Amino acid sequence: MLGRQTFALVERSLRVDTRLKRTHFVRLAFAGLILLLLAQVQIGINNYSSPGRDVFRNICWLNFFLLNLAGLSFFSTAITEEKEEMTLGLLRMAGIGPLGVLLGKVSPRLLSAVLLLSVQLPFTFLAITLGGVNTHQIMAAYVALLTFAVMLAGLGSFISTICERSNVAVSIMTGILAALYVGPLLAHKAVDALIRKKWIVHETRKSIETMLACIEGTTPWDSLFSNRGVLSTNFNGPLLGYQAIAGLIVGAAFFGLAWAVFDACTRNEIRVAPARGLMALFSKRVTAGGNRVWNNALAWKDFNFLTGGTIAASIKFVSYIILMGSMAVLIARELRSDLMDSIGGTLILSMLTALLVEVPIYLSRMFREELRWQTWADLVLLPQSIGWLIRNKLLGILPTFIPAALVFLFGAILSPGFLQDTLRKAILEAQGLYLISQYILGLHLIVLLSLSVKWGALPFGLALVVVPNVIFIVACSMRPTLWQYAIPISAAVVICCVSQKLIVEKLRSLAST
Amino acid sequence: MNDREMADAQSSPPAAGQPAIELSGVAHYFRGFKALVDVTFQVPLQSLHGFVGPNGAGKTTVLKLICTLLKPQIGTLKVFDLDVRNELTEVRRRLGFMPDHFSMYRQMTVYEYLDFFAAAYGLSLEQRTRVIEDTLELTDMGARRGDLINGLSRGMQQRVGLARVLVNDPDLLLLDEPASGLDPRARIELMEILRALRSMGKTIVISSHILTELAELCDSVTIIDRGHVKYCGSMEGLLDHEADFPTFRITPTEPLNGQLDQLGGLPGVVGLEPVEGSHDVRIALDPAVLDSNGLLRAAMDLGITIAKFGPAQRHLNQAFMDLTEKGVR
Repeated sequence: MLGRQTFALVERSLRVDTRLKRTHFVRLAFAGLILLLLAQVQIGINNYSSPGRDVFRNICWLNFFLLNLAGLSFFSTAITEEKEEMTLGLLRMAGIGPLGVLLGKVSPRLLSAVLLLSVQLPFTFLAITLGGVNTHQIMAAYVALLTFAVMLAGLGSFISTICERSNVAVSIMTGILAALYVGPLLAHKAVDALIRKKWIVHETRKSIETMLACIEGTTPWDSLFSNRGVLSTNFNGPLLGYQAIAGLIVGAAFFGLAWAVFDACTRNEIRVAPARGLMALFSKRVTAGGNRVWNNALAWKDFNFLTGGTIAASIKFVSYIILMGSMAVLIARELRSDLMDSIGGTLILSMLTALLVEVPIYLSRMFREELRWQTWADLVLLPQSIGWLIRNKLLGILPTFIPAALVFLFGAILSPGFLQDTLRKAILEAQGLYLISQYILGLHLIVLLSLSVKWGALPFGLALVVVPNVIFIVACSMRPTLWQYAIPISAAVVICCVSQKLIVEKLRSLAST
Repeated sequence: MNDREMADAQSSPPAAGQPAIELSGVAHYFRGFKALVDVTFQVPLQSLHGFVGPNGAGKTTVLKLICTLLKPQIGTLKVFDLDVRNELTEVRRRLGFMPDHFSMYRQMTVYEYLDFFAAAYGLSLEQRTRVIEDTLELTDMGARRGDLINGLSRGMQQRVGLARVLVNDPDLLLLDEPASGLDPRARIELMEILRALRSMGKTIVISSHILTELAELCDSVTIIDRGHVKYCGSMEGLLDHEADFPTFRITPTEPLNGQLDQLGGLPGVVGLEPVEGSHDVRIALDPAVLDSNGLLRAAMDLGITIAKFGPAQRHLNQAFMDLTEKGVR
């Protein structure tokens, strides 16, 4: 059953990976980063109560963040990528079975993640010399992270097998991870409310909470960072704890499921075309009659086909209203004073978060879709400049932010003081400016990367901003001064200017390829 | 007056006698690789010009240079006397480029697609309505206006692609391999549309591998190989173009049987090829050894009764083979 052909793809991927200089460079850079973090803590050792544990906690957070990004982009697109390139059929015709394809596509990616973690291990032991952390904790933390990687790879292989498109697979994976992290928290709140209402009895609560603990325990969020986790003082739990075992079982189970449904999900090769999305369901097709393309054609196209048009915006608006309304009711029950302020503040913060998440998502797709379907050259041939094209494409995605902006505005009306305070912090305080500058830098990098990499521009862009900032924060002993903030802010301004130039140049050259 | 109308008012109509496209000493490099070397040719105004060459000859590079997707590194390139380096926007306004791949917004309907490009070119709503109806009629796609492009056959997608490049009413059409992948009917119908466009006064440059179709369709042709222009001129001129050895065609009254080998064995005969669908033979001679009179005499000595004898016009494929080098680049 496990013939040579089963491992042919794995072997090829590993060969290619080994020969790439980039692979070794990334691993080396990561090991260097760990050393840098350790060195910085060593220099400012007096600022920490338990320096070893503090630096190791930061390393673990960074790894956890990167693993989640890998789960979203790296693992969940393993098979959809082949489907979109229409090369899965060729692999099958070459005699490579479902297991061979799955192993060939998933295991090299998993191995890359494992190697990236393993390469740090010898260096992280140096954290012991700084104090506050022991060998057992380091080993347990890496076991937790490695098994989490296995779980994500298994889950990703299954999602990638059942989905036809990468963007759908990534969205589902995002939903699952969000549910995994936020779901149990919300469920706990709901159970508490139901107990208060006496709608459920304490025995039921116990079983629900056991179930929730089982779900919560599958991620390093709980096993590493909670009060009783690996990074807590005097941790003496087993090396292979609940989370590690659950991670391995869940990963293997989903991989097995992917194998079982592989044939059924990939039997028919589907010609992948750009999605018409919600336009197909509700909107009238453009005809010679009343329903026509806007005078700003580019904005019309991106608004309707990239962001989902009026239908998607309306659905979003209704969802925000329902979600925010429910939150307002909850707040009203808990609070007796400053009700309007609290609701307003919640609306402002929630919608700001929604906007901060939405903007990079659409920016990462704005040009990628044109390149993917080879339509960029058609637009460049219009008698307009690249800058005009960029501006009009941006105009096209702006209306999709109206729902969040409206709810934000409503929050501002309810709580003008909160808005004023937030704006003051954001604009007048160095920390606010620092965060804004890094966010804008991230947007630029995401757009630039979306022109170069086939997938994963969003997580790569995020990683490129987050990793240096983690170093910066650690270098400043977690409390940067006003003048220290000037360094990343000015660096962001310079990089943004360079990125804009590079984006225009890249867009120009991509039109001719 | 909208953008488009202002631009129309500013742009001058193509002047008679002036070439539509003029390349002079154009060279282009891709990371040190010579894609084009000293390319010089002209495309007459309102002509249907064939652009032929083997794979990797540089055809697409030339078309991309003309349509402004690439910037010429060396030499000058003018479209309707406009320099593509300096008058890029005006050049783009006056040409339509259809690439060799099906790059379309396949999630749109035919009408949406055409309306989108018409609006992107700055046409007013009335102009858009009129121009879309005209192009749909020309390409015979009126009945499929509400269909999604993704659901159309390759031939129909090609028609929609052609309709798209026509929405801004360009004076020059650049079509890169427009007939590739089409069935014979779709191919013939496409050629009909191109003839109709030529009669409307458009200059059309069509790159293709299907030489016989070009022979029927084109007024002039450019042959390019390994980045060098090998021939540029009329189609007739190409067929009469001097080969390495003079070639003659013998039309016998009866089929040649054993005499064919004897003819081939004559000193000075460097090539012998029976003409398909007839008893005729095409014979290439080394003039230093044997001339046409000598050949005629030798043929009669072999007992061949000759109905007709004269210089042979080459087949387009032969001309192409003679002008281009062996091997894939």
